[in-house]
Amino acid sequence: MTGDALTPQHGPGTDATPDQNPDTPRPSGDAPIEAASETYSHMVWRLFKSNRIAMLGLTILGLMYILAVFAPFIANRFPFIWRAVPKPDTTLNQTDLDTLAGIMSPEQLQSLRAHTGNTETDSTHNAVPVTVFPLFTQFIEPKETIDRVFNLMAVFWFGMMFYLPIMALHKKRILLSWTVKRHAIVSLVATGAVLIAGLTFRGPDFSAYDNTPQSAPFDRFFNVAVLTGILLLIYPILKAGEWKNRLRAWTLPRHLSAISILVAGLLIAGYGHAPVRDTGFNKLNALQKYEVHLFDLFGFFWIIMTLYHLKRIPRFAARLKTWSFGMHSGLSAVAAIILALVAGTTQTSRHFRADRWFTISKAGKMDAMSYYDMYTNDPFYKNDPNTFALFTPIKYGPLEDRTLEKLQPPLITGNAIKSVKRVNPADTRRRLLGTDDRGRDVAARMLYGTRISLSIGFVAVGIATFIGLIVGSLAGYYGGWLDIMISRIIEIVICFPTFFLILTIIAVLNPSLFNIMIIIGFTSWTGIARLVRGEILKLRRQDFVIAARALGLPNSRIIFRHILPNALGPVFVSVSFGVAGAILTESGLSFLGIGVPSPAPTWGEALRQAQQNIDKAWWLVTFPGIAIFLTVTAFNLVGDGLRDAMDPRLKR
Amino acid sequence: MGAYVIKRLLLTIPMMIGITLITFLVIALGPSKSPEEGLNQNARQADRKSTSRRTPRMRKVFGKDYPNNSLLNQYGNWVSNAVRGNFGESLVDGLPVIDKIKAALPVTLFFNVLTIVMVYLLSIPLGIFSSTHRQSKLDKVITFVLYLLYSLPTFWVAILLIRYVGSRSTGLGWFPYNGIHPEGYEYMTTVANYLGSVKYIVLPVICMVYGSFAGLSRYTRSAMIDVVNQDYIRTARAKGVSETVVIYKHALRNALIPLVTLLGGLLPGLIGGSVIIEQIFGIPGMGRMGYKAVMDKDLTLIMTTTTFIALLTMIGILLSDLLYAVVDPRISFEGNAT
Repeated sequence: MTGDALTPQHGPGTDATPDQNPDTPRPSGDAPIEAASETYSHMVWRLFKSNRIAMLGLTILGLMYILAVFAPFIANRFPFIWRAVPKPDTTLNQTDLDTLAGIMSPEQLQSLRAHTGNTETDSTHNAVPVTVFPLFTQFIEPKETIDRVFNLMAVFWFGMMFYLPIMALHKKRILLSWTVKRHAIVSLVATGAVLIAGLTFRGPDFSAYDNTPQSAPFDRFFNVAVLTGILLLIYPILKAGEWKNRLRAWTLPRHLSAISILVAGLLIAGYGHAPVRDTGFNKLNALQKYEVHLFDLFGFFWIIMTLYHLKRIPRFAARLKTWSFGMHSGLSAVAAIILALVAGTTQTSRHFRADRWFTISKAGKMDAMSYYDMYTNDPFYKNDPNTFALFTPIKYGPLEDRTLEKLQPPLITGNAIKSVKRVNPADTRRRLLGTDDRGRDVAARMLYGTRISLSIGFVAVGIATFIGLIVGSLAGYYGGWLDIMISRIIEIVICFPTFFLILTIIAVLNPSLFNIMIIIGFTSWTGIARLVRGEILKLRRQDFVIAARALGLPNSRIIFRHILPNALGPVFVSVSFGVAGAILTESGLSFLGIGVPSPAPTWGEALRQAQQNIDKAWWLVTFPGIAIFLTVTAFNLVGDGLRDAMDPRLKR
Repeated sequence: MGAYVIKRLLLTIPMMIGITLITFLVIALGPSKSPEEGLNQNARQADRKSTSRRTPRMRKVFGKDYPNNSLLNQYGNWVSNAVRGNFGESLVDGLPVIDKIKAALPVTLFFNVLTIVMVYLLSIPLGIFSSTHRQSKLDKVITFVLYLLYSLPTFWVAILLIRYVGSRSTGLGWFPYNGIHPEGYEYMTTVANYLGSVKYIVLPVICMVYGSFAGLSRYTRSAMIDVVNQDYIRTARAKGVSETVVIYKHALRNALIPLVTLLGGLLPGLIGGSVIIEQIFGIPGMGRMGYKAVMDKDLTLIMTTTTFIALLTMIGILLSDLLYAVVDPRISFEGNAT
């Protein structure tokens, strides 16, 4: 780990790794005395960091997270395309074709006509594609939300790179291990690359699910802009250090003023220039119209809130100072607004959106002709100096099924490649981890499966924690008949073999990604509830609670502000193990064929196929299992590390 | 003690009501009443074909005017029938549910009891060994391996075992992995049948044992270490008691106390996990039957299976509570039974 060298130096008494001499347990007062100068969270983190195995688990999780976030950049059947001249939409009408005849060679034109499958005008495909900011709509389409969330994270990451150099200008140390200068250079380069890529490459629709041309493209420009704004909002809070200060930072006008005007401006600017305004607003359905209105309203609300906050600063000079204080955010605000404007006003608004670089109306054609074939072997693209396609390392999507190429062995078995059947003989691509029984790429599916597993783990456990915290604290704090009732309910749910309950619920509900999350969440809260109840029972009689009650504080405040924060430690540990359990449950369900519905690339589903082809495909048996195992182990390691760090006396 | 047992047994009544009521409501209030929204093709076909056959079968347990009476009435009828031992007929094939349970329950019971016995037999010695050889290389290896075992997904291990140990074409072909009876068992003598079955249960039992075994061994180790650090152990050693006696007489007996309580916690997980194991190895137990019932939306069978599984779990938990009192004489249940 890079952080190892930076671990704070402390006395020899605590520096010794506990594994070396646990036979002579350290006096339990040792750590607290040392910790007197540091906060509890810092102490936990220091102890956690000194535990190498736990850090290994954390590293694995970090890598998993990175893989999940950047999955579309690693495995994608769509290339990133450089196009100097606007590539014609293949749903062109005759007028467009005539226009193109002026800039294209006859061969190219011929090839284009061949690809569209027909030369006559197909009026159904002539509608101008309507783009709506997809963030909101997608929450209504559960199938793709997870991908959207992870894509937003990817963009967030890029936004980070965009913001960091500006921070570096202010000579602020951003990461402990990096010098400011080096960081500034790297992130400037990265930012430049992202900007150039964003403006010139027409990327794919980053979705694990089928990339039909009709699906709304992921509009990176708005997302970069808006997310930069959100980032600016969050960043000062993260910089503020302790949680106490972070919470205060939310309410400081100086942070809100500059930044929220920026965000509001971005929202409105982005939407003002969105093509829905001038072309297709009336073509939207009611829901999408609401969405646009909602975002407008949100923007205006934000501006009003900002003005209100500014008004709370007494002197005009102070208000100005506010701006200069937030100059770093102001600078990047300007840049972000420009970016948003550029994205909204230039060529993008018309042809970038209308330009679907792959819109073949005859869907059947796609099976025979892959995108890869198209961009590498087709004369139209191959000989076109203006078109350049850059493929990701794994050139297959998670849902791209080629039944002819089913059960191909992975790359490392080398010799078997010769006997492999191919849809297109000229296609020389190799499968890194083989294919499954529908000819889908295992590596791509496993990558996208990371997204599903991680999100199910976190969301399900989030739900469980939420319920458990509330129920447990109610039972523990109030006691009496409420406690008895809740304890009985918990006992009932514990007696219930959870897996069977989940089965029953799934049988009557439709198993979708979100239903699975909710079901796992609603059936696994009992452990946390019990834990919290016990902790609160312990804390309830302590002096600080009695003092709080003597002050006349309401019960809700005593519970949530005084008791719960002190009871949270074990909950974190339990969450870490809970995520591992939820991932196991989900893959078990998918293994039985009742998890996330079929086309979704889950690890459990891959193992299901392994069971069906158990004598034929060792790669289906091995790799998904390793993925599940690694993730679960990593979460368990982190949980163990956290537990040891939170209560060093437990360590043996 | 006796009063506690009675109280505890009485407590199972509301718990059984709670569990069956939850199951009943989940199914009865579930949104996918229409066949189109059903889960799998089988259920859909079964729904379409047998709607006419299902209703009279439902009426036998859920009341004479079944689809029209209230949910509470339906549930009440089911309870009063179930108490009298009438669990009705399976909605799919019309066989009495209780017969199905009679066939499946012993299988599951056998596997679970065997698993628990093996888990305890294996993990306690291992836990003692690694606690007495603490920080030795072997202990570290054991701890590491147990940790890995603990996180291995059961179904993956099952598939790996089938492929590399069970399968004849790709593995060693040592153990058969489909079902629990040898071929042609109908014509065998009982003894031959049982002897033949031994080979069949090896792989599933390995799968069921290893996870709990890993967890329990780690727990035993830490419980032992906890006890060994206590003052009375030091006193015993100071008296000059031999190390064997210290470990097995003074330490182990005290370390057993928390282990006994874990028995109750093991059970729900084992039974839940047996759904997958029984499915993979084709074992005709409760898990597999329950899974099939759920897939077919066989309401009577689901209710009965759930009842019996919950009953099993509760008996297990009760047993572990009672054992707790046996192992630790200091504990009395009088006064603080709840």
